[in-house]
Amino acid sequence: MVFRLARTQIVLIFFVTLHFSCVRGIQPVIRESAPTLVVEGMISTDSAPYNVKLTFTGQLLNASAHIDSNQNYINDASVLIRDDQGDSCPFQLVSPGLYQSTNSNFLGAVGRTYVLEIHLANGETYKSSPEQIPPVPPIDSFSVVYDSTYITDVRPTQIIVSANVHDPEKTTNFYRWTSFGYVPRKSWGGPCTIGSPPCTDPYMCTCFALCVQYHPDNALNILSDQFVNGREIIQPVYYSPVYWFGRHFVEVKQMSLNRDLYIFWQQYLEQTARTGSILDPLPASLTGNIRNVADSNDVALGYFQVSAVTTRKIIIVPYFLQEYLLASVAGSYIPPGDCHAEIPNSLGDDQDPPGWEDAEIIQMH
Amino acid sequence: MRLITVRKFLVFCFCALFQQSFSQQVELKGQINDFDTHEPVAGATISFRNHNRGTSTDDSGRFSIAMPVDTYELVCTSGGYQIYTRTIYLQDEHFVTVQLKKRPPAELPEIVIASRRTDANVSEARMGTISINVAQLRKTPMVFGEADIIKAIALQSGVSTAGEGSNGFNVRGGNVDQNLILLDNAPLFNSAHLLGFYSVISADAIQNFTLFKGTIPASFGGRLSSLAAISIKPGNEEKVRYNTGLGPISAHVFADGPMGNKFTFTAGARIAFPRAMMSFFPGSVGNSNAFFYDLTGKLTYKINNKNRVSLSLYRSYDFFKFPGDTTYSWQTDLASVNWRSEISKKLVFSLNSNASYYISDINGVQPNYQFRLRNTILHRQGKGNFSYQASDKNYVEMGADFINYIVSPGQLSPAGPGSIINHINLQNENGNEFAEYLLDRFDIGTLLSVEAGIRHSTFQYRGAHTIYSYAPGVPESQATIVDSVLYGKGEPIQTYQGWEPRALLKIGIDEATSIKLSYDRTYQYLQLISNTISITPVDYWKLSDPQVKPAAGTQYALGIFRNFGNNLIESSVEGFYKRSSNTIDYKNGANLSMNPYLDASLLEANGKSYGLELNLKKTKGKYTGQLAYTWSRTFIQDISSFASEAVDGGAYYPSNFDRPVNLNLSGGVKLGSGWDFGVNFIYVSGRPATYPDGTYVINNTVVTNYSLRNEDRLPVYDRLDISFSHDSRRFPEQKKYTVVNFSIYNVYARKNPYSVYFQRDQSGLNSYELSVLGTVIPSFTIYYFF
Repeated sequence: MVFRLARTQIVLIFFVTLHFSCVRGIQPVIRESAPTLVVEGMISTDSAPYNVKLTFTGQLLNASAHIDSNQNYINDASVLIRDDQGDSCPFQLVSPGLYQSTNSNFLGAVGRTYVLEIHLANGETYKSSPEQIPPVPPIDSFSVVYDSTYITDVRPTQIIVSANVHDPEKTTNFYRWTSFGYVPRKSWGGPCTIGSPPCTDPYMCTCFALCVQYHPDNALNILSDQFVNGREIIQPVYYSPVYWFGRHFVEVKQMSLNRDLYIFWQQYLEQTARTGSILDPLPASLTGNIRNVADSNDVALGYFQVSAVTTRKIIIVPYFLQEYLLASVAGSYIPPGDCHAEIPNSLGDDQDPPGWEDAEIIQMH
Repeated sequence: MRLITVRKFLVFCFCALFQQSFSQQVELKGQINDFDTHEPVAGATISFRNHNRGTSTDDSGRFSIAMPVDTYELVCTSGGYQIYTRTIYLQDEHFVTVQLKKRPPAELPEIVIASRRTDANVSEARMGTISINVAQLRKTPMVFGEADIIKAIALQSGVSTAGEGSNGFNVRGGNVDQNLILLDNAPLFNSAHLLGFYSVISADAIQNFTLFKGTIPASFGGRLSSLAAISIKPGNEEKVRYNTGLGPISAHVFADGPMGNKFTFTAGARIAFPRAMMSFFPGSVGNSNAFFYDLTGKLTYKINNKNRVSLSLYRSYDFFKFPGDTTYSWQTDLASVNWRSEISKKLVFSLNSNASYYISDINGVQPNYQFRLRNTILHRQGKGNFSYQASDKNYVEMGADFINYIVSPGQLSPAGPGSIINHINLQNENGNEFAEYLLDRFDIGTLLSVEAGIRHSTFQYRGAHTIYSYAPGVPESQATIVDSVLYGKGEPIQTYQGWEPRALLKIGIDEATSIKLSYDRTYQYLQLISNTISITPVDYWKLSDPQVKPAAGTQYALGIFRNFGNNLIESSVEGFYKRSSNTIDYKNGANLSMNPYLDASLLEANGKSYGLELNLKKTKGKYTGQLAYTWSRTFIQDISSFASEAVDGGAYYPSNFDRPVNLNLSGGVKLGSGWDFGVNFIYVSGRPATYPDGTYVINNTVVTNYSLRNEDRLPVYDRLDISFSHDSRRFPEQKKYTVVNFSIYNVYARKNPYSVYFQRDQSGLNSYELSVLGTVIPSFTIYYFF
């Protein structure tokens, strides 16, 4: 529950309601500061390798084209993670700014404490505070619900996947979920054989007309059990768009967070949801748990996350779907041509995504 | 050194208290009442034609002045009343009773704001005081057709707001919560409807509104910046009268009159219907909902000529709903009983008991997580006050004040059978505040006037409550708790106390010129915690406790006052310097909602403000006008042993209310036949803002970084408003009449920036300017009196 986010909405909506307000673009106000270290690192109970990304903050206007264009990657740092038993694992640079653990046997374990160390080329050393991996309860089951609402030209109807989790009563728990899936897509289709005439009707051709598309959920999804301690949590974790008939492949990772990191992500949500209302939370830097060893007031942006992870995969079979529904709602999402060729990040209809062989199947009638 | 100074001050006060006049003069005393309501008229000016002597009435409408034996033409004036003159043959002690009649419309001053008396800015020791002629508000430029007292005082020097549609007001750089707003002596914790577009009390229900933006009288305390005293209009004693008004978003009805011989009543209701306007808009806006109402009542019982009891009741309710999302509602219930007794002609006793209850509810409707979160404040107060007119040059007031606070910081409960939300009640905060005070207004000779006061307040934070101790040497957080102590119900936990001296000195240069100095110190034991610029209904109030010390404020002011043309033109220049300490700030990322360890998320802050205020106004004649210009600065400094916790590393930074230049020009013209023309022009420096100064990627999202708070500033705000109004009265006693007002707000459709914000899309970082009322807003309002 993010009360403050909702509060900023009401004021803005009220202004809009009155219809006397206006928003207009203005020339960006330029103010630059010295580059600051940005860290995005993690160790978990999941399998290695683990990643640590290092950048410096960039100038405001350099981000005009693409996310990557603004990243001042740090490629000459020395990175390692130490644990509370004296072991350590060095990281190596694998791509610009991205460091990966080099020891596949160095795995995160629940109850153990880890410290991230970063030695920059200029001699400065940054260390995270010691972070202990808290336990994570299992995902007991999933609930799936068909959401028949849609937003024209934005998304079709969808299946909402919720994780059912029994929150342990005796401990304070903070959760983060990440998820992705493969969803069925349809195109007009292509010629079944070389030289056959091209398809001229979206629904008449059957060859090369189906595929599955990779569909990640990039939204940050966190929860504290502060208000639901000991209860059966039913948390929406994935929204699978319904473009066409077929199976939906969904993977959900449920991670534990410690308190400070939960607060960090909560602040991230507030700061990235600013709407210009005077009731916005005041702007603030997203400082995390990593500081300069020589100057504790020099705090890096970003975080070092330690998490226990539990992973579940499911296959959803929506038997209830009717063609007239899809044709009227999802029809605009059916492109001409070969499905696999036209739909980005897709697999052909003869391919199931790998890794779902033992997944639980949920039938929707 | 400080002790010696305080002693000298106290000796000075008591010497003045018992000073006697040894001149060979006789005493003229009197009582000034309202002709219609028979209520005493406070602050009326008593002067004598062709003589340079004068005085004013106290809160009981009484005055006393020593004059040589002679024949005089007594002149009695007060804002909104006809001038009263009477010849007096003064040979020995004499007592006069005057019934002042309301002025007919043609004589009503066009200036909305007027000092209490035409020469008060020169003759009184008090400075930094603003009174409002509420009736005149109906004839001035309005927005959304509502006469609004908060918007009116925001046109005065030293008073500002965070922006259009923001709640509350800022006085000389102080936070919104540093204003004590009293409605018939009971405090209001929320001063606005619809998140700031309307004042919480209808102007039609108000008899007097006075803002003390400088030194608050010693009989009041509890806030650092200002006292806004609002009194509900008492019922008239002649016959029941009605008044209705209809505007584009709201309507009101008001009635007052006698109930038998002993009782009079006042009853009013106001309701807003923005939902009707919203329904015209498509999509989610059309499905939103907003609503408010307020009810005001007052019952007065005249026991006899010397004793009177009144009961004031008030309720306000606000509701806002965004479709499919959270709903918000907040409510104020207030009751105040006041007994006033004239023990003798010189001595008046008044006793007040009041209760104010504020409720804020948030209702979440997200499936499985439906909840209701409630915060409340219960404020109960008793106050006894003696006022003694020792002589024509010496007025004394003393009394005591007791307040009991119960603050409920959070009651969370599930709101629906499928909700998995737990019942959670955070511990209530309990506190008692006791204060005693003494103030004395006296003249020394003909040129010096003094108001000296001393107040001593004691606050005790009491159980039941758990107090946490934190490990030394590391930032306080839930993780660094090393011990906790559970205090039982009513058990004292922490006591604070302090002296709050108040002093004003007027040095008369001549009858039209004076220099004034003031000093005051105040403590505040209840503060607002907010991480936004504007106060909102769902912010949290916090009592002082072992971790949160009482806020303290000190203010010095110096002013030069001069009137021209027999008080036709008033002018003043005031400078002030304020310091505050122990105000509340919060750490970055602090969770303010339902946080049982909230103390660990808060920081102490120091503040300083200084400025210069220039006022020039003409209050009489066909053409009237006012110029109010303020230049001021205000800064904040977080106090923490850990610089990384403090904003800008613990350096002073501009506060959210630091708007250096504030110019307000208003004017009026009598057009004849009941028509008036009014105009306002406002020019204010932009509010401080925090612009991004870096960017980075995290969680596959580009994030803008803000490393220094309030280092930037929004563009200037300026606006012109005009109004035409018509009053159908042809004589002052006319009972049935209408007042119509046609206003144009923001005549040249200036898109004044409310905020600048930044969003990033595929094209890069974009800057946007949000204007709340960025167009011409006409409104038409009609008032009908019968």
